[in-house]
Amino acid sequence: MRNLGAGRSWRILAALAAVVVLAASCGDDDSTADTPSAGTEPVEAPAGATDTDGGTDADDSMEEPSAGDAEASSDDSSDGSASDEGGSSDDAGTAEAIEPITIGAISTLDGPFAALGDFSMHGVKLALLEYGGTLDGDATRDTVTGAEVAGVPIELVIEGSDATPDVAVEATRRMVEQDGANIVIGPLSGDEGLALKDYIREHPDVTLVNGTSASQDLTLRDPSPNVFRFGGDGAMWTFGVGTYAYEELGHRRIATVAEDYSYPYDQVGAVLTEFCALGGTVAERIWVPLGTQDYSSFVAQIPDDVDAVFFAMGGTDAINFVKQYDEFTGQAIPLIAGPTAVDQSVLNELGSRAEGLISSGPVVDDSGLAEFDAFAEYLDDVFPGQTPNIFNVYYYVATRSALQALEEVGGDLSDGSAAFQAALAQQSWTTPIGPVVLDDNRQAVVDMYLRRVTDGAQATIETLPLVNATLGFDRDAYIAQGSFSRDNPSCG
Amino acid sequence: MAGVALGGYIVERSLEIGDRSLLVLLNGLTAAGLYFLMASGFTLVFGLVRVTNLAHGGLYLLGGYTALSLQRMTGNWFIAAGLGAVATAGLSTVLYLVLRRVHGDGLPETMLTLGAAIVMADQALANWGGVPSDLDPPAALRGSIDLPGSILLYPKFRLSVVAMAMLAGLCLWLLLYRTRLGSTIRASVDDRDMVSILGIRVELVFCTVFALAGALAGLAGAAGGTYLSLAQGEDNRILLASLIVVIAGGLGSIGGAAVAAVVIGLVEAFAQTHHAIFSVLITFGTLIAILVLRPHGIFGSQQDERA
Amino acid sequence: MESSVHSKMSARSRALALLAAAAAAIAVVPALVSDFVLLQIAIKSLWLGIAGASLAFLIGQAGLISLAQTAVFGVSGYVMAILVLDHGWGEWFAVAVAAAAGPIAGLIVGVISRRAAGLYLMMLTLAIGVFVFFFAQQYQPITRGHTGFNGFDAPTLFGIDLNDRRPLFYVTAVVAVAVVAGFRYVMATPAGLAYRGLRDNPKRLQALGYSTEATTVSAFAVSGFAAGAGGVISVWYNGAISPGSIDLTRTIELLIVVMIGGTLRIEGAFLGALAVTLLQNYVSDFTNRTETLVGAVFMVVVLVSRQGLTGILLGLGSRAQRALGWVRSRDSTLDRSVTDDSRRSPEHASRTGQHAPSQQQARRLPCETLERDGRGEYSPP
Repeated sequence: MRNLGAGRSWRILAALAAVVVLAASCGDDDSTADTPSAGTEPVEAPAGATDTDGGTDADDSMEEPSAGDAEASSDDSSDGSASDEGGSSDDAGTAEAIEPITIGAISTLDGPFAALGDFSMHGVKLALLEYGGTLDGDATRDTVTGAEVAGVPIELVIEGSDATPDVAVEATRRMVEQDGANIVIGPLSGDEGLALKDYIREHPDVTLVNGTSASQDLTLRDPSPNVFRFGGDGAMWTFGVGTYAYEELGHRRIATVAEDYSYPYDQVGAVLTEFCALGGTVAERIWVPLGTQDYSSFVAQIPDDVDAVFFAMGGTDAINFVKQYDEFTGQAIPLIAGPTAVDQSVLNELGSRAEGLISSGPVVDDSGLAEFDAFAEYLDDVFPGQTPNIFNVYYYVATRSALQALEEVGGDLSDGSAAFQAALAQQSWTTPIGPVVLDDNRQAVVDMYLRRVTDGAQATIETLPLVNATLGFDRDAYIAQGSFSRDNPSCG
Repeated sequence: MAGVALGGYIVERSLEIGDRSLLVLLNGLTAAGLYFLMASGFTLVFGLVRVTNLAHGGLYLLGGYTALSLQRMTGNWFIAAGLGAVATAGLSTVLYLVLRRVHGDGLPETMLTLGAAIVMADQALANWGGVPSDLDPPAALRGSIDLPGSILLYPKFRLSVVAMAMLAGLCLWLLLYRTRLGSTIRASVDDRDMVSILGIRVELVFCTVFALAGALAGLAGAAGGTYLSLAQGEDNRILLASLIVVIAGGLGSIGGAAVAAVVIGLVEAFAQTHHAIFSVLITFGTLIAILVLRPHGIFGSQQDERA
Repeated sequence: MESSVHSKMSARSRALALLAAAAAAIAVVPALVSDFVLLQIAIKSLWLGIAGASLAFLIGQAGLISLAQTAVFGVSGYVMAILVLDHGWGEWFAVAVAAAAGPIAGLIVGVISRRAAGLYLMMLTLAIGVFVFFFAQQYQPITRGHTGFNGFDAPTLFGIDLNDRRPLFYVTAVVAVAVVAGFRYVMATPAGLAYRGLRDNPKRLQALGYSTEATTVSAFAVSGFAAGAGGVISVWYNGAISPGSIDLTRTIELLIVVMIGGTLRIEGAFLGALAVTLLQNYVSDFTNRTETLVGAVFMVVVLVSRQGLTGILLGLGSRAQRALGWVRSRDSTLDRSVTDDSRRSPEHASRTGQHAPSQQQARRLPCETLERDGRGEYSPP
C-alpha cells in the first residue's frame, strides 16, 4: 500500500514538473512564437521606408554572426564569475578584439508596476535599434544585440526590480559587477532612484542615467557626479498647474487626494507652492495609504465647498480613484490631475471618465514636434499598438543621450569614464518631447506642457518652456524650504 | 467601560460628519460583501481539510481576469462572471488533487498553496499583462443612486455586491443545513474518519468543497474586478483582507466569517474616513485585539486548541 | 549509561569537527569567489540564513510557525538606523541596542500570540508582521515613511571598515556560526527539551508542569536574537532599510528559505537561503517567468521532501553510505548526536535514515505514534 502511495506521488511530481517546465517556458514560448512577427515587421517596413528601419533590416542579416559571438562571450563571462573567481571583464576582453560596452537597463518587471517596466524597456530598445541593433525577441527581458557606437559593440543587459530599493540595488549590482555594465539606465520609481544614487556613488566609473525616478533629491540635494537625469522630477512634472488653477480656472480653495509617499508629496507640494503663493488655500490634504483599492471612504472626506480637487496617483490607484470619484460624486467638483495619473499609459483604461481632466506633464500627443511624431511612428512600427507615454519616452531619451555621448567620445570609457561623463553633461538635443539641457547638478531643464485630456489623448493647452529643478524660484530659498512632505509646504 | 468609551467615540465622530456616516456605513457593508465572498470559501476549505489556502487570492485574480476576457468576448457580465467562476472552480479542484498528495498537519499543504499562489500571480502577469483594467458592470446595475443630504451618490453595483454576498450566504446556509451533501460536509468537518467509515466517499466531498470555494473566489474576482479593478498585487491584498476576516471570525466558521466581514468592513471604512493615515494599522490592530481576547476568533471553537 | 556518555563524547567531537569545517569554509570562500559573489551570494545567504535560522528554530524545534520574524528583523534594523542616522549615536552603541531590540520584539510577539497555536499562530503572526510593515510605512516621525533610511554606512571594527566586503563577510560568518552554536546550545538545555515538547505534545508538556504560554514566549524571545542579528547585518548589507525590506514579499521569502532548507536542522536555513539567493540571481538568465519557476521549485521541494533540501541531502547521504557498505548504526548515532531528538520522535530515524526518500511513509508515521486529538488530526511538527 505504502509503496503504491509513494509511486503515485512520484508520478504526480513528474506531472507537476512537466507543468512547471511548460509554465516557466510560457513566456519564452510567447517570445519565440512572436519573434517571427517581430522579424517580419521590419521586412514589411522598407516599403513604407524609414531610414532606420532599412538600417535595422540590413544589420539583421549582416551582423548575425557577430551578434552570436557577443552573446556567447557574455554567457562565458557570467558563467565564469558564477563558478569561480574569474574576472568577467577579463574573459570578455580576451574574447573580443574590441571590448564591448555594456548598458544595463533596470525597471520594475515584477510586482504591481510590471506594465510600466514593459513600457520602459520599449524605450531602451528603440534607442539601441537606432544604432544598428536587432531585437532578440518580443518578451521584456529579451535584449538587443548587434548595436554599435563608433565601431564599439554595445551589449544590453536587462534587470527587473519589484519597485523596492533593496531589490533595485541588488539588480543593479548584478549588472555592474557581474555583467560589467558601464552605463545603467533606470530606475523607474523615486525611492529606488535614491538607493541607486548611493550605490552608484561608490562606483564613479559607472554612469547612472535616470529612467523615470522622479525623486527631487536624485539631483537636487547632495548630487552624485555620475548620476544624470534627462527628464523632470515629480515637482517639475506638476509645474504650472497651481498657477493655471488659480489664474485661469479661478479656483481659490482646493482639496488634495494623493498616495502617501514622497512622489505624491512632490506633486502636491509643487501645486500648493504655486497656488498658495498666489493667495489660494488648501482645505484638506487627504493622504491615502499605499495599497488602498477602495477610495470611497476617502472620497467621502472631500469637503463640499472646495473649488477643485487635485489628485496625484499612479497606475491602478489612478484608475480606481477616478472611477470611484465619478461614481460617488458624478464629478460634481472638478478634478485636476497629477502628471502620471493621466499619463498615456493609463488613459485607455480611464476611458471617458478622464475626458477634460487638466494636468501638467512632460508628454502631449499634439505637440507638433517632428521628433515626437517620428518617435510615435517608430514605436508603433517596432512594438505594434504602443503609443508614447512618460515611461517609454523617458527611457528612450536616457538611452539615446548616453549613446550620443558615447558616439562623441568614440566609445572611450577610459579614465573612469571621465570623457564620457563630461560629454554626457554637455548633451543638448531636441528629444521627442522638446529640447533638453542639463544644469550643474546634471539635472535636465526641459519643457513641460499644460494639457487637457481630449478624445482619449493629451492635448496641449500651453507649452511651459524650460522648466528647471526649482520651478523658477530662487534656488537657495527653494532648497531651504526642505523636501516636500505631508504638511510641507504649509500653505498659510 | 472601554467598550462604552469606544462606542461613544465612534458615535461622536460619526455625528461630526453627519449624513456622510451613511456613506461610511454603506462602504463598510460593500467591503464586507466582497470579503465574505472570499472568506466563506476559504473558511469552508479550512474547516474541512485544515488547509490555509494561500492560493485563494490567486483564484480571485484569475477569476476576475477570466471574466474580463469573457466579457470582452460576449459583452455579458453575468455569463462572464459565471464562466469565470466555473474556471476557478476547476482550478481549485486541480489544486486539491495536488494537495491530497501530502497528508500532513497543514504546514506542507499550506506551503504548496503558497507556491501555487506565486505561480498563479506570475501566470496572470504573463497572460493579461501588468496594465490594470476592470470589468464594466451589467447595464442594469450601471450608474449611481442619490444619497440624501449631501452631494454624494452611491453606485448601484456596490449595493448589488452586498446583495450578491447575502445571496451567496443564504445559498451556502441552505446547502449546508438543508441538503444531504451539506450534512455530509458538516459531518466531515466534525469527524472525517467516521464519515469515511460510513462508506461515504470523502474525497468527493472534499473535491466539491474545493470547487465551491474556487467558484466563490472567482465570483468575488468578477465583482471586485468590476467595482474596484484587476491588477498585479490584487491577489495578495484581497488574500490578506480575507485572511483577517476568516481568522477574526474563527477558522472554519461560515457564520463567523459573515460577522467578521461586517466588523472588519465597518472598522476599515470608519478608520479610512476618520484616521486615513493610520487606517491600515487600525484594521490590523483590530484583528490582533480580537485574537488576543479570543485566540480562536469570534466564533472559533476551542477544539482547534493545540492538541 | 555508558552509551550515553559515549554519544555525548562523539557529539562534542562532531560539533568540533563541524566547527572546524565551518571555519575552513569561511577562510577559503573569499579567496575562491569574485567580489560580487562574495557580497551578493555569500553575505546575502548568510544574513538571510541567520534570519531564516530564527524561523527554522521556531518551526523545527518549537513547532511555532511564525510570520512575524521579518518584523522582528525589521525592528532591529530600524532601531539601528534610527539611532545612528536620526539621533547621531555611535555605531556600536546602536548595534548593541538594536541587537537587544531583537529578543525584546520577539518577546512582545510571543506575549501577543502566546495562546495561539498551529495555523492560528501563523495568521496572528502574519497580522503582526503586516502591522509592523504598515507602521514603518505610515508613522513618519520615527520611520521616515515609505522612503525609509538611505545611505547607512557599516561601522569600523578594530579599525577595519565593514563596508569592505571581506571583513563584512567574516563578521557575518562569525555571527552565523555563533547563531548556530547558540541555537544548538539552547536545544541541548532543558529549555530545548521543553520547546520540542511544545512541538510534539503540548498537553503532556503542560501535565509535566511546564507552562505552554511561557515556553512559547521564551521561544520567540530566543529566536529574536538571531532575527535581530540578521536585521542589523541586512542594514549593513543594503546600506538602507525601508518598508520594502520587511513587506509581505520578504516575509514569504523568509518562509520559503526555511521550507526549502528544511527545519530538521538549524543549518538548513543557510542551505535554503543559498538556494533562494542563487535562484534570485541567476534564474532570470534562463526564463522570463522567474516567479513561476521559483514558485514551482518551491512546490516541488515541498512535494518531494517535507524536510526540504536538508531532508533530501540527508536521504542521499545515507543512501550513499549504505551503498558504500557503512553500517547503519553509525549513521543513526551521528544523527542522534546532531539533532538530539531521535529518541523523542520515532519517525526521525526514518526521516533521516534509510527511508528518507519515501517521505509519504515518514509523514504517515506521526499518526500512529503521537497522541491523536478528537478529530484524527495530529499536532504540529
